[in-house]
Amino acid sequence: MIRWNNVSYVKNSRFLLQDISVEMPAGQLTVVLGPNGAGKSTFLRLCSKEMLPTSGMIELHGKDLQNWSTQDMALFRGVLSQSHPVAFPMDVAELVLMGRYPHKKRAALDHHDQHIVQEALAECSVKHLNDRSTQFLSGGELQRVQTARILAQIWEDHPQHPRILLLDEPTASLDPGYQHLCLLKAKKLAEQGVCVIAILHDLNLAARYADHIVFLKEGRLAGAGPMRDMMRESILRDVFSVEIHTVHDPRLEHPLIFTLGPQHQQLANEPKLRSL
Amino acid sequence: MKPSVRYTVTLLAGFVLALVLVVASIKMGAVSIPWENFSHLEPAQAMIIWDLRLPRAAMAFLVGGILALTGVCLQGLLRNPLASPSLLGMTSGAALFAAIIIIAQHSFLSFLHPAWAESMIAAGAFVGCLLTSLWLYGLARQSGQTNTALLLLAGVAITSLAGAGTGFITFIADDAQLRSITFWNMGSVGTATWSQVLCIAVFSLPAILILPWMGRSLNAMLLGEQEAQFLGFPVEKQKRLILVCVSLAVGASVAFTGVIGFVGLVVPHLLRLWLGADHQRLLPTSLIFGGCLLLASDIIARTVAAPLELPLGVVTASIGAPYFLYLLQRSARRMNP
Amino acid sequence: MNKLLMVTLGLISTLSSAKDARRLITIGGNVSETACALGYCENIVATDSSSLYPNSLTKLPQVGYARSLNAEGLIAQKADLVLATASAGPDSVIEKVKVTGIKFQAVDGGITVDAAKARITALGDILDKKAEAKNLLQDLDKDLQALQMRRMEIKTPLKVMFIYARGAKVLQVSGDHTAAASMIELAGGKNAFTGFNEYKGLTPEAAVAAAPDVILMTKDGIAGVGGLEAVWKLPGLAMTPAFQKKRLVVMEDLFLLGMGPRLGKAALQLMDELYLARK
Repeated sequence: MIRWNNVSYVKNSRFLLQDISVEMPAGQLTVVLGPNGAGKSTFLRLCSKEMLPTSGMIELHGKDLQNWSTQDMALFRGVLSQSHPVAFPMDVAELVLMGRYPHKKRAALDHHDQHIVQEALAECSVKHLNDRSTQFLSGGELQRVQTARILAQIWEDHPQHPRILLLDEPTASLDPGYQHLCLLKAKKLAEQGVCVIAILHDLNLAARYADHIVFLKEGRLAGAGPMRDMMRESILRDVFSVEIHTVHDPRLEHPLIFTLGPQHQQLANEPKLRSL
Repeated sequence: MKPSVRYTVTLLAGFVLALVLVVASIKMGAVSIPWENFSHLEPAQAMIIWDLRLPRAAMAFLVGGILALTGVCLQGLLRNPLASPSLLGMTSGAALFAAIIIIAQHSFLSFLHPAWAESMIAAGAFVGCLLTSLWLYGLARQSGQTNTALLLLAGVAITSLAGAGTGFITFIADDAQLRSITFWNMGSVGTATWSQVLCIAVFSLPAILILPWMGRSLNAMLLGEQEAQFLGFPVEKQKRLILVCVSLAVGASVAFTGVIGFVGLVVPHLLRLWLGADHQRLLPTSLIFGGCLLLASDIIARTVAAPLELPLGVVTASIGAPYFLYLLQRSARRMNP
Repeated sequence: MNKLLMVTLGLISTLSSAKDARRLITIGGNVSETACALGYCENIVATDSSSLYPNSLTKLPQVGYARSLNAEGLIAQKADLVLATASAGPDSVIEKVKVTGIKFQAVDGGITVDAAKARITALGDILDKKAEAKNLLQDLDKDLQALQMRRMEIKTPLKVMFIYARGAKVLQVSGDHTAAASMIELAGGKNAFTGFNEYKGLTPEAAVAAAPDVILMTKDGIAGVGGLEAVWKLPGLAMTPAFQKKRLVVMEDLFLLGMGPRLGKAALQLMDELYLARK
């Protein structure tokens, strides 16, 4: 579980994040939403300890994040960043195997680790790329391979701490099929007890898979809570400055969200649109 | 062949090659010592083997191994296949200080006994290497972290600056000094003594003991430093450790052998093509094959035009440059099929 | 050198006692030349890169450059004695060579006439050729006397600028305490540049201020700048009297600057070139 207590982050005398207090529980998929420049990436970076807050405290499983060592966190915390070019070409299997490094400080990586690697590759539907070299992969394929690596890293439950998975726009370069697959897996992991936090742009994907939503706008918290409470027209309209229309289909457990145009647009003059 | 099998075979081949080359370097030389004599060597022959050929072989193998090992580490650290201690300016700094000492020996250092001359140049070169490493590190630090992109740029800048300094010294040098500077820049193990070998060994101990175990760390750094950090590696500490080990080892080596190029580029490159990018395999094999390459080069340098001795750097450049040209052709062909 | 004389001297040397070096390595242009002149030419088995006279020496095995010799190369020649100019090195190599029992004798490398004479005497002592050394010195003295007499007849010494060309781009002129300065003085000339030791870069202003009457260069130097014609295109020379009168003297390097047994003859030739040759 990650809890933010009045956390601010200042850079070049500007507040990128200001006074944020929010809790992201374990066993839930929390989606962070907000317009561009809201501070979502900064939020995730502070969660992963890539950066340190200027003021306030972030708690990881009850302990101050600053007191956690890099080695300890690597055993249960996986971070999927947006893009990572690989400096030298290597085999896909070798790349994913690196995800197991934190678990074997001095010992050699064994069959168990190899097994996990294969499972992780299968999970991300890239098992067929096992023997390929990274230099011949497309952007999307490389992204899925990196995802497999992160999964391999947190494959097994940690004896003391719930696992954490941080995803920075994991669906960015994926086609619709894989987008759903990716978030479905994230949801499954959450159900296993992992604290999953993902940044998404697509409001419908967020509505479909998230348990918990955190809205950020201009560096401030614009709302946080269960998905059903957060995905309302009034809140969405404020956060995104856009005209929203939600549709509730009785067969679905989540609303379908449509964006219609910039906020306060005169729609009456558009012949094809009915006013709301 | 499975990668692990290939690795074991390569490692074994390296050991065998090293052994063969050591025997060859003992046997071959300007003075011919037939095999029969080896059981009962005359004092002069014994001196040649123990005081001339063996120290040379030891120094060549040690320095070659260090150059290749540090080459691999820097290439992994900087995520650049052209990285080497030379690129970072360490050897240029050493060369500049060596040139300064060579000039100074005729002016304000002339009171020193000539027997100290060689040691002074070595000490100067070592200090030069360390100072440039320190400066390099300082330039590349940004809010408490070492920025590797800056490191590369700083290295290039320092190399140019040191080159300008050396150029100026070359200009004001007289004939004798100029020759000394030129020969120093071409590299040689011709004056190797056991005490020099010991000195290099002592300063290279951190590198040889620590660096081969940093394979996983370097692998992780290939993904990017932040990713390596997420995998639990204390990246900043390890970068510092690598830089310290490299500067000490390279400084001591360059101090006694002068500038020897290409070993730190050719050996890692070839091994990477053959074994893959896994540093756990690259590091030990680079150490061995780097030593083999330099030892072989030294044997060539002192036998191909005996009694003349070619400068070692010239031999390694003659091997390295055509290889890189060939590589260039191959990749050009691959880009334009 | 007369072959018969050499053979005779060789016989005499084999009949003489101590310091009986059969195989000799000589390092340094004037050392090799003097050793030859003293009758040891046949005994020299290897030399360094600067030993160019007599020509027969260039066909011998080369042990490299005097300042960076290699131990095994020297030992492999199976020499009894190594005669080297004082600047030979590195010291560690020399120590190792001495350990194998090869005798090593350093000879002073001074560039004055007195140093040259002392060198001939020293080598004569080392090689036990005192009589031959004395002969060489006598010949040299004769030349020096001739030079002195002719110098007294010179009313206005010509100003001579010696240019050392280390490749086309790096040109230096000789000041005091160089072999070139010694030779110019011997030949009755005046060094156009004084007040500094050894060599300094050639600048156009300095050349104009010095106003040399004659330019002196070596054959290698001419080759370095790209031929005789290229000399006149060198920057700064256009305003000198030497250029206007097109006075250029070229002599062979070792002959002019070696400060060996032939230095007297070289000085005489230089004097002729300066004062007799009028083109």
